[in-house]
Order: sequence, then C-alpha cells, then structure tokens
Amino acid sequence: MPAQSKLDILLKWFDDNDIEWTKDLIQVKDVKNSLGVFAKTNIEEGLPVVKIPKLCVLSPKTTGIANVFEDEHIEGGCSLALAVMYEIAQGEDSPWYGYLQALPFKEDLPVFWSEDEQALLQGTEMEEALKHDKDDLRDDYDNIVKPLFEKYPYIFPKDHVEKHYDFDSFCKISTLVSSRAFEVDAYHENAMVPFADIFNHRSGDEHVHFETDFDVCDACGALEYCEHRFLNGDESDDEDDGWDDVDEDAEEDIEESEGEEDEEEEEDDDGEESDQELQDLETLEKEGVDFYSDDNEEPEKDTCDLVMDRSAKKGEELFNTYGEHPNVVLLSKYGFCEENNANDFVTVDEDMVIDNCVDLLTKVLKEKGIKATEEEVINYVRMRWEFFIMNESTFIPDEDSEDMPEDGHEGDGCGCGHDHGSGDEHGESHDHGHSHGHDHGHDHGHDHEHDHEHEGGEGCCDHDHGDEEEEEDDEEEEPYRPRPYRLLHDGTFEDSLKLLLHIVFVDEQMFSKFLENIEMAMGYFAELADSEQKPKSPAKKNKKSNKKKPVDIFANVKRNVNQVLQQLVLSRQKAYSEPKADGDVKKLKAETNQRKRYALMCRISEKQILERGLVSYSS
Amino acid sequence: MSSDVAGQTCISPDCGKPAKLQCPTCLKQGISGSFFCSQECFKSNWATHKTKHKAKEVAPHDPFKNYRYTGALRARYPLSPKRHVPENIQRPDYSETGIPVSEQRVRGSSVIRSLSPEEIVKMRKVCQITREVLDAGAAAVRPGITTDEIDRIVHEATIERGAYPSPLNYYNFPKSCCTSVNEVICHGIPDQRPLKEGDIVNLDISCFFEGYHGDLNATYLVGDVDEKGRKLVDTARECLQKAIDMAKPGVRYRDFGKVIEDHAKQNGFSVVRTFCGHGINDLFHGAPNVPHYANNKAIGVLKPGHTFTIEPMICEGTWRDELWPDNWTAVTVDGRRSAQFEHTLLVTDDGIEILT
Repeated sequence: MPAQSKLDILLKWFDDNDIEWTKDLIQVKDVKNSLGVFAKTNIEEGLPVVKIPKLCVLSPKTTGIANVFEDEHIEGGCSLALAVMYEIAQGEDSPWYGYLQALPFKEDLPVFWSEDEQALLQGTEMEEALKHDKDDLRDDYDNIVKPLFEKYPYIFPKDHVEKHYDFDSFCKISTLVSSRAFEVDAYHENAMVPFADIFNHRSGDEHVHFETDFDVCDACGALEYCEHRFLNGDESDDEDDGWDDVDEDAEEDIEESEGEEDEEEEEDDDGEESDQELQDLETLEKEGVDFYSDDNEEPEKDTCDLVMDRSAKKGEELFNTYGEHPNVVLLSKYGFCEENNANDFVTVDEDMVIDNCVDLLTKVLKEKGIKATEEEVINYVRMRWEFFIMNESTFIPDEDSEDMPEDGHEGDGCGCGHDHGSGDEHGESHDHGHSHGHDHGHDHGHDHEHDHEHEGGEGCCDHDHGDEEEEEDDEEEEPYRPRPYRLLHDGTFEDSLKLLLHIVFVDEQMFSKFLENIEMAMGYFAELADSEQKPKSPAKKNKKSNKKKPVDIFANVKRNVNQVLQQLVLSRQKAYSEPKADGDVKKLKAETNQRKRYALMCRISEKQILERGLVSYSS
Repeated sequence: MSSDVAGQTCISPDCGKPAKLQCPTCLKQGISGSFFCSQECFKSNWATHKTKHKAKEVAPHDPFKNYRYTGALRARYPLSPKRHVPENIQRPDYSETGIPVSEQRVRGSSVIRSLSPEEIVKMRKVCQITREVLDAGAAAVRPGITTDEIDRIVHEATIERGAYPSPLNYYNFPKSCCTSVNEVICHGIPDQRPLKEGDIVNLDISCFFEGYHGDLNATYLVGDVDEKGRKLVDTARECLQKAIDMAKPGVRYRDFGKVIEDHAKQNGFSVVRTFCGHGINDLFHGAPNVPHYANNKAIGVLKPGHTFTIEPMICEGTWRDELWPDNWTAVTVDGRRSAQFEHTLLVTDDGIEILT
C-alpha cells in the first residue's frame, strides 16, 4: 500500500475516534516513509495542539483480550506487546486498525543488528543490556506468550499464531511498543497513544510535551469521583473535619480541646449553609419552572494532551522529548545514541568489587603480618558488605525511593555476601514501569507531565509481569544478575560504592562503633563528605592537620578505597579489546554504517569515562 | 443541629458524597434524613425523592408537569406502594439500602468471571424462573391493563417461585420489573397508565434466586400495531438472534455490535448506544459491557463459563436518548418508538446456551 494512503487512513481514524488536533496549526507529513508532525504556521508556546481521548488509547486494559490478561495475571510491557499483536492480528476488524496499519514495521534496535554489528558492542554496557533484552524477550515469549496459545486456541487460532505471533513478530512488536508507548495513567499504565506517538523525538530543545491526568482511579480509570474511592474510604474531597476522621490514637488530644472544636464546627456549618441552601423545588414546581433541563454540565473530558513547550516556526518539525537518558537506554529503546552523552556511565558489577576488596585486604593484612585464610578474608568483607546493604537506605536516602526498593536487601536474610537482590532491584534494566505511579499521588487535579520514557527502563523490553506474579514465584524468576555500580560521566564512582568501600576498609574499632550505633557511621560519612569538599590548598591542609586524628583515619582508608576504585577502572577496561578511545574515534570518522557508528559512539563514550576515572583515582 | 448534619452522606443513590444540605420540604414537614450533597443531586433526585413528602395529590396525575416530554407518552402517578417480599426469600445486598455494594466494588474491572459447574446449575435455575415470570406477565398484556397491574402480576409470579424481583430497590428502583412503552427505550417504571391498542410494550424481568440473577426481556404488541411497529419489533428480535448466532468462545464482546447495527440499518432503524448488555451472575450487572452498536471498543473475549446478556434496543428514528425526571425512564429524544429483546446467555465450550 502506498504510504500516502496509509496516512489518509490514519487521519480518518483520528477523526472517527474524536482525536482533536489543531488542523490549522499543525500537519502530519510522511517524510521518507516515516511520519512526523510539522508546524503549518508559527505556533505560540503553551498551546495544546493535540487532545487524545483516553477512550482511544490502546492498552492492556482496552484490548479485546483484556479479560485474558486479568485471568492470567499478565501485566507490564509484555501485556502491551501482546495487546498490540492481538489487535494487529484482527486486521480491519480491530477498532485500532486505522492506527495500527500506519505503525512502522519495527524499530531498528540492536537486537535486530547483524552479528558483526553487535560484535562492536563487546565490552560496552550495551553488550550486557542487549544480552538481557534478548534473554528477556525469549523468556517472556516462552513463559508468558506461548502458553496462551495452548490454553486459548479459540483466541489464538493456529493460522493466526503462525502468521502473527511468532517469536520474530513478538520481538518486533515489543521493540515498537517500548519505543512508542507512553505512561498514560494509574489505570492504563503503559499504553499506545495514537497521534502522540507520531511526534518524533529529540533530546533537548523539544517543542511539545505530553500531559495527562495521572491520578485516576486505578480500578476503573475514572478521572472524577467514582464509587471505588468511596468504597475504599479515600474521601479526599471531604472537607468536613467532624468526628468521622478521628482515629483512636488522636482521640485523647481531641478530647482536651473539644469545646473549641465544636465552636469551630458550628461556625463552619453556618457559613456553608447560608451560602448554599437547597432550592425549594416544591414551590418552583408549582410555579411551572422546568428545572429539569437546565443543568446539563458536560463532564470533564479525559484526554492526553500534547502541549507546546515553546513556540515553533512555520515549516519546522515539532519534536517531543526523550528525556535524559544514557546511550545504553537511547540505543536499546529508541535505536540511536549520542556522542559525549553526559548521562552516560560505565558499570562494574559487585563480583568485581568483592574480588578487588578481597585482594587488597589480603595484601594489607599480609603487610601488617596478620595471617588470614582466604575464607576468613571473604567473611570479613561479607560482614561489612551486609552491614552496608542493610543500612544503605539510611546512608543514602533515596529521593525517589519508589524506584529503588530497599526491602529487596533488607528482608531476605540470606547470609551470603553478594547474592543480594536479584539484580532486578538496582539494575536499570528492570525498573518497573509503574513505580512512578506513586509519585503522583499528591497534587490532585493538576496535569502531570509524563515524558515519553519509562523512567529508566533500560532494556527494549520492560520485563515486568506485575507484582503479583513476582511475589508468587520469586524463586524461579530472574536469573541472578550481579548489582552494577556506576562510574559516572565525570569519572567518579557513585556514592554508594564509595561508602561501601569505606565500610569495608575502616578499622575494627571504628566498625564496631558503627555496629553499635548507626549514627556513628552517619557522622563518619558526614565528615568524609566535608573533607572531600575542602579544596586542596596548602593553607587548608595546614588547618586540617591541627585535628590530626580523623584526617589520618580518612587518609588510610581513602588510600585503600582509591586503590580499589582504580583497580576497578583498570579491570573494567579489560572488557574492551583496546582500552584506549583514540582508535575508535578514528574509526567513527570513517564509518558509514549507521548502526556501527552508534556502537562506536557507545564505546568511545565509555572508554573516555574510564580514562577520566583513571585520572580521578590514580593519585 | 451541628450533630445532626455532621457525618451524613448524600441520599442520591449513586453519589455517596458527604452531605450537609437538607430538602426544604422535608424540613418543613419534619421528615428527617433527607440529605443531599448539592443542588445538582437534589434536582436530579427530585422526582423520586418527592414521593417521600406527605402526599397531597392522590388522584392520577402527571408528576412531571413542567417537563418537556419527547413524545406522546406521559407518566401517570401515584405509583402503587412498594410491594412486599416475604421474609423467607433471599435478597440481594441492595434490597434495603438501594446500593449494590458488591457490584460497585468490581465496577470498572475487566475481570469477567467464568462460573463453576455448580454456579451454572444455579444460573440455569434462576433463568428458568425468569422465563416463567416473563411468560406470566406477557399473558396479561392487553389494551386497558395498567403497567402497574402487570408489575403486580410479575411480582407475585416471582415471589411465588421463591425468587426476589431483582429490579426492586436496585438503586432505589421502585418496582419489580421494567415496562417500556412505545418511545421508552428501557427502564420504564410501571405506573397507572393503561396500555392502549396499538402500543408496543417491553417487559424486562429479572429474578434473584439462591444468590444468582437471571435477566430477560421481550417486546409485545398491544392489540393491532401498525406495520412499521411490527417491523421494528421483528427487527429487534432478529438483531438479538443474529448476535446470539455468532457467539462462541474467542469472539470478542465488541463484535456483536456490528452484526446488530448492520441488521438494524438494513431495515432502516438505529441502535441505542447508551445502554448495553452486561455480565450477570451473582451480580445483577457486571463485566463485560456489551454494546450493541458497531465500532465499539468493548473489553473482553468470550470464554467458556461466562454468563452475560445481549439486549439490543432498536429505534424507529434516532438512537439518541434522554431520561425522564424520574432518572430511570429512558426515551428516544425524537419520541419515536423503540423495541428491545434480551436473553441471558452462557458461553459453552463450543458455542452458546440461551439460559432464558
């Protein structure tokens, strides 16, 4: 089918489905087989240019097989991919046909690259992410998708399965979904939002952003008052401070001031009632007033809006934002990446950290003339490691604690040093899409901006089968993936690793103080942070040496910590066949294959970070 | 005073918000407990609420004097007193409060229950009862009988069989069945208007027995009905049949609408969009939602063990509807006639079973 007619079908579908867009301001154009939105004229900042009714969103809640997802407890990225596959398989019978037929075939992500293209990723963060993506896709397909075909042959007839639901299609649709879906609201979660997804993206300098009322009822999707809120006792609209709200704990306090309360309440009531009294309908009726037909207020329309963030000039293509992402996310989700991306990082995994700690400690003990078996050293490290993990959330309070569940490490009580967490809890690759649903609970009635992203969901397939399932079969869930620690773009490691290493290397006396009282550890870290902030001017150094003792402690520990960190950078560099970036920079200049260029960009960016890391920790 | 108005909730059946305002008439008459959250809720419930006030007019009258009716039909009050259901008959959760809490808890959920074999036995039983009750009511349809009298017959036939008439007090619905005459699309309240020669009337019967609901309706001709009216009723019946014919596991609930609308359109009629078929089991109304119009995005695919209704409402003119001030009676906005048929259906392993 020629591309133009696909676009025509799509535009007609927009109209049929009550998508409102400013046809005098913007136009959808097909440029080289890819759709984009362009300014027809100069457009001012702040204007909503497209309003998409949530009724036409395609999500696991709105697909024809939504009840199957409910019955089988399938949620998350996999369910959205399945929903899209199902609707595509229905052809013109699908209510989303007009939308689906215009979707691109697939996103050009590294999972589809040839072997020699993928080989360029060796040693990079992308190599691991790619492996996980492939594994996850396979895993989802074999464990979630395939069993459905057997269980529901009347929903997935054999000829459909062969034609529409093979593994290859699943991969293609999964990547499409992960690159195009929006986090719509607490009910739909991640969903396909027609029209919103034709805006192409770029990082920085974008024109539009996606707005939606996130805070809807998560049971039925109602924007306004629904019975679920009433039934669940969430009467947030209730301004009445009457005895309804008095809970047992507070009762005593209230009793003391009861006199006051009553007075206040009476005032309140009087005020309200004189303001707003019910009309005497009986009298009105006698007078022949037709009061039935004068109050047809339109309910608030529940839409997803694209709003101009800044003005645009006539003829310009209008872009949405990708959000701030490292290359590994950009490449695995959207199929491109950027040179010198400030969000980039390189990771070392915890096994590598443990090995380096053990090596150095063995050396230090030897120097001190203390004999210790390898096992004793490992146990020593393990004890300290566990102490850190247990208290990590205290040491590093997480601003966005929902994204980083602490309980993954606290409660599991397995005595082994480094088998904590499933890799799921901290690895970027598996942040749960709906985690940020909770962030929006406060702030009722405002529009919430939702970037076109999964808040750090790194892989091309958000591996997320819903909490329920995870709790049930925790054991056979994810394969063990060691927790990664990040070396950031500026060449320094993330704080948690620094603190962890300090705990490993403080002396016995100090550590026992930490064990006794967590405040001691907090104080230690506070002083550490202080000492690091002071510039290394000779004058200051003199001052410091006045309070000699703590400085000495830091200095000793710091030396060891730095040594481990340096060693980590060196070990990490070994992952690449050539640790230096220069060669890759030259290759990039000559390379014409776009995929290979992206691979090289990733590699160069990482190698440069590691080079900066060596500078940071060499002294 | 303050202690009386604190902690009250709006008595509007579907509201549940906190309320401090009281009906002025009730205050004058010393009737307590008439709280509303707002003027809007008060107004929209006026027609039903005012029946609480001490009756002044007993003679048959039009209760909505100032309402602009869409057609020729008029409500004829007073309604007869609420009918009694013997104590020994099992009741649904709304029978006292009017609020089906169990339904509200799962409202909006896309979970469609598959019933167990034991439950299916109970569904068969209650649907059989519902069929018998409809037949009893239908046998009484003739020119001159009031819809209230039909309601009495239906009510008695229901309790005689040990069942509770599901509509009674469902969101405060005042009667034991719905009687929808001519331009009434559905949910007509049985009242004192006698049926007239040439009317069409739909009887919608629902029964609750041993914890399960059955739901069934059909449209009947009162005496001689004009050709267009007969064609309308026939088409509505055929629409239901065509939808049932295509039902089997794997079919989507959203698919019925196309078949129904196609057939209605071929005959020059339209399909109501506001009211849909519904899941039915231990809940009177639940998932799935079954629209009767084409191009809908209803959720769900038929699986064995699902029980639901299809109940297309087919209109002579426009499908657009509005409610009478009683908040129940749905009429076509052009005042032209509407006909409907309904069955309760069970999805079997390879097809469908009509339970009613």
